[in-house]
Amino acid sequence: MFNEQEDIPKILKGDLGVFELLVKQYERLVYTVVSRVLNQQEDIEDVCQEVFIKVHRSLRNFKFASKLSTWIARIAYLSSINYLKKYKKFNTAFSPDDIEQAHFTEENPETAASGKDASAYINRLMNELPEVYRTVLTLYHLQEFSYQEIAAITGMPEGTVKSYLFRARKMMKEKLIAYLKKEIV
Amino acid sequence: MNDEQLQRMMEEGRPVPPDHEDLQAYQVLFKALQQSPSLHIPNRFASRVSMRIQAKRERVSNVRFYLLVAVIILCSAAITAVMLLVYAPAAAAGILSVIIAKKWLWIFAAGALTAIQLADKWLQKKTTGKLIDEH
Repeated sequence: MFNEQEDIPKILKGDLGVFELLVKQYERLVYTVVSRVLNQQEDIEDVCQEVFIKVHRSLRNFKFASKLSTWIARIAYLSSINYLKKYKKFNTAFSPDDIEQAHFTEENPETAASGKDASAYINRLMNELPEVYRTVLTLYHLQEFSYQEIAAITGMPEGTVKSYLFRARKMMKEKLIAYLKKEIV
Repeated sequence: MNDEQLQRMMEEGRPVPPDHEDLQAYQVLFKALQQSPSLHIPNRFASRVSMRIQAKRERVSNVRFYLLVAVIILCSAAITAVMLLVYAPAAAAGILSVIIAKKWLWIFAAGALTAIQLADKWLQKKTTGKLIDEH
């Protein structure tokens, strides 16, 4: 188990073994954040490695002002967004403020067969949401970060985080009700 | 109740009435959002990261070493030149004329050496990255 107060000074002295403990402790968090923004497995692995290399390089600047997980998640989020921008995969077709503009795959026999239950359908909806919505939902529901922590990670104001969460959940709920009704028919 | 109130109810974990369609949908949604997606974390991911950091450290250390060697060579050359100018000005003039006469040869040799070193570093970086990924 990684102990921030005791182990960070050891890493700063050059102990790579202790740094491996840090990586093991936070690899799931980093993979979750990065894979919510990027889609290709190869890209995800590259970015995750880069995230931990940046963490190692910048650990000296970590002043315990926030939780280490918040700090690492911020590096993971910003690295993923920068990667998208660098390789021109960033979705600039619509404003994140207008979630209704997001494109969702219409239900057809193929997608219906792949989404046999509501959970699979929600996952599919989630994958089709814009990056910021996916990230905010993941950080809140899966990683259980608070609004303030999500604001610190993404650099968005707390009000925007709340608004994105609310609108994404409302939109997904409406789609889910329509989907469940179709299922019953 | 509006959606904002319903979502707050869900966040606070209050009991959901069975006949409320929106709340039922929110319940399914919140449950699904809390499920961890399948992540493909490679085995020995942590070792790969530390191997890359180690490889980078070695590269930085090598560059420092080469810079140190270059500085030592330049300083030695400068000291020799000063000594020659002070104690044997005739020999210094002779050596200087040879250096000036063959200046392009020296420039080419220095450029070639630097290019070989840079190419070697580039190949080393590429191969190390591949080896770490294969490992």
